Amino acid sequence: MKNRLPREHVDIQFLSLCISLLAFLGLAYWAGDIVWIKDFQPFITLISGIFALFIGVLALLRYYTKKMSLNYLFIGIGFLGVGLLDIFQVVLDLGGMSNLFSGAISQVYPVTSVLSKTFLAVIMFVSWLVSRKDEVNGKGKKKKEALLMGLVAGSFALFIGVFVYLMIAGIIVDGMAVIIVGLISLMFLILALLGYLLSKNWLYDDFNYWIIFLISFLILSQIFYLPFFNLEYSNMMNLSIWARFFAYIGLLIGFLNSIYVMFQKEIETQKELTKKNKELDQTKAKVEEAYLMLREEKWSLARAKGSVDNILKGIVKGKK
Amino acid sequence: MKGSITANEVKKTRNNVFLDVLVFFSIFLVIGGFAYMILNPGKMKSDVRNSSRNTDILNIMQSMVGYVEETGNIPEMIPLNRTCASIGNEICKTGITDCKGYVDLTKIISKKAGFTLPVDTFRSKGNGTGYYVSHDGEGSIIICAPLSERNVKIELKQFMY
Repeated sequence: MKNRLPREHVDIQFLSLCISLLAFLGLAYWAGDIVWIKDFQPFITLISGIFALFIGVLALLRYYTKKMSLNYLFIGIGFLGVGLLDIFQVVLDLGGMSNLFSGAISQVYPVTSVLSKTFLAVIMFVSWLVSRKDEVNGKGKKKKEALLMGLVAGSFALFIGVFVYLMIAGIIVDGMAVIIVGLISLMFLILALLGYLLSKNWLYDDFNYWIIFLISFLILSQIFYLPFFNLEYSNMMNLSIWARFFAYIGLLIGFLNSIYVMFQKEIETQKELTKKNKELDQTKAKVEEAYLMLREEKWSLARAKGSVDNILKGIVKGKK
Repeated sequence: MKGSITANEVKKTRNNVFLDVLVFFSIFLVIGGFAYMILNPGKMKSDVRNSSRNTDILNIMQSMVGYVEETGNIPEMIPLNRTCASIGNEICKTGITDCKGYVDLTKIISKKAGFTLPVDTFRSKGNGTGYYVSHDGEGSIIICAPLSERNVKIELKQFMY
């Protein structure tokens, strides 16, 4: 049976998530006046790519050590792909690593960034789908889940449909394809977030909370990317990259935490095993002691029986 | 004893309720934060101030152009400096007697009736207007507003002759 995490622990986790999101929105509010923030754009993209590769390797390692949940396999493959795409994007945009700090990304909407974002969104949704298959859900819960997901997907389909119509009608053309693909990614991310929240696995496992943390920051990144806020385009691109960076850090913490938990469990199991072995040794010693005592008694009985036999033989002989 | 609640349990329940309320409150705050960022009134105000700075430097430049057309020279009080926002390049406020360390444009604006030099919103203290002026030595006058917000560079360069 799965152990439920303490209620306070879960509350503090979600409180910290909300505070992190608020802090990031605060950063976005003041980012317009921060001069240095735009110089780090390619560097942060590169670091995010490296982090994504690292997460991918950790997830695959986790999957192959236990081979219990396919969820890890999907996250692993997804993050490896995203990491490669992110690094490819930086190299492509800058035209070489020598311009890492001096060069700025010229395109407002680099095509490769759309690719990696969409790929990650789809992978997160698929990872939830796969983890859902592992669980045994109630019929009512499934119905509620399907209704909510259908509503979200429907409203997004409507929204995207309007954009497609505007594009076909030629009313808005500039960057429209990117916005449509971005909206689709956002839809997948929101569906994945809803799925993970409704599965309520975060009540039992810390790692699920970190996945929710990741998806929340990815949604924030996507909102900045599209862009829905009243900010400068360059700032929003920048903040989108920073949000993604924080999302990756979150999942990395999640993996490190899960490794820590696994080690702690291992230590506890070892302790338990040592205790059990000690108890077994003690029991064995007691059994041996009891056996020896029993044997002693048996011998003394045998000896007593021998002497009684001798006495009886003597009596029988005396009578004869 | 079965059925009775200890003081510790009551405290724990209160803590949990408090944390629950905090979580819900922060979720509302996040939603509010999203709504605020969609409108972002702070940025709107900054944009308005920046646009008024643009108008101000345009007005100052127009009076400069008028002066140059009339006299045929770049005013001698404008310092030679390729970097506009440098110490000593700030324009002095209208009606200030002590313009030491500032660029005094009284002579220029006196030619334009009813014109007073605009002052940047963020420059309430001191004798400077918050706007800077210099010429590059190649016949161009540069006017800039270094107090502009949101990393917007507000600068105007006009070739005079």
